[in-house]
Amino acid sequence: MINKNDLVINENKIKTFRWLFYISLFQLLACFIFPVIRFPIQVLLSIELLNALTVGLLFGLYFLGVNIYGIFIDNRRRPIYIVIVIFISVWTIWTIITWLYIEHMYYLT
Amino acid sequence: MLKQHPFLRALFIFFRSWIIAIIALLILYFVWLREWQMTWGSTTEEVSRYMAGDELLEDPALNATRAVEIKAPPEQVWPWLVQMGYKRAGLYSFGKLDNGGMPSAERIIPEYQNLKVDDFILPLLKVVEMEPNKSMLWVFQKGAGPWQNATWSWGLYKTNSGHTRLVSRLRQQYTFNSIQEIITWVIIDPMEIFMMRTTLLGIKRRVESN
Repeated sequence: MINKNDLVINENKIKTFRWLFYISLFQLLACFIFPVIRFPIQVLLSIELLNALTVGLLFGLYFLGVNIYGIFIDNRRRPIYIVIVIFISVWTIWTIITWLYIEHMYYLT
Repeated sequence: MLKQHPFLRALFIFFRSWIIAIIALLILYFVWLREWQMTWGSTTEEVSRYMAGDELLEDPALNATRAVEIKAPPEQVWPWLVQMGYKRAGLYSFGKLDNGGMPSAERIIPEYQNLKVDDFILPLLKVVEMEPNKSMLWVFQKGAGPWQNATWSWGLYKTNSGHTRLVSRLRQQYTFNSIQEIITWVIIDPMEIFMMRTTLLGIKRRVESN
């Protein structure tokens, strides 16, 4: 038999998780919005790409961890977390390939 | 109390997990990654060998010797080195970041081949020594922000097979006069390898494909 208290605790856990999701999403978005404010337009694309390949990915990996956790505890939004996990995994693979063969990435160098 | 406020609890988890992650990253960086990235591509001999400008800074905090082997003699690598610079051929680094919004050159540019001592590579990076086809020393000048007290030395060594070992040595004495400087070093110390590696590999690709 399901205890009412257990349901409340579980509901709180999901609420806490969702806040964690929003905070880490905000962190990730802020990382990419900051250069828009700080750098001139001529170099903005290069800055954002470098960001995506370094610090941005670090925040992305944090967000990936949050979303993997979400897949297991928040059933109702599971499809969203799965899509995000796939997206960040592709981003990570792109980063690894880019750094391995950076001299051949003509659009970057 | 925290358990009753999901937002506060989430914020607590967020900061706690970042503190753990940062400690783990710092341990990983200082125990293994830093040594590896500071000597990327170079041999033990290249790391310990004297290079131009070593005498200018005693025991610098950042002492990075990186190298690549280029399938061409030093005479073919040298023209790509001397044309480097801001609003010249670029630094063959990342995107348009090092050349005022212009991409780095993909060919040898004759008008930038007459580099000499006292010329500037970047606005505050001056050529101090050069021995054609062998070595070149650039020194950051006063006013170069976090980069003052830094030297950037290049060495070209011919191998037995007629190839070139292109060695770059970046030396920097950190100063900790303000919070801004400390933050700058925390960012530059692990990040500078990304640009330097791109530069070295960028030169290699350009020389070998030309």
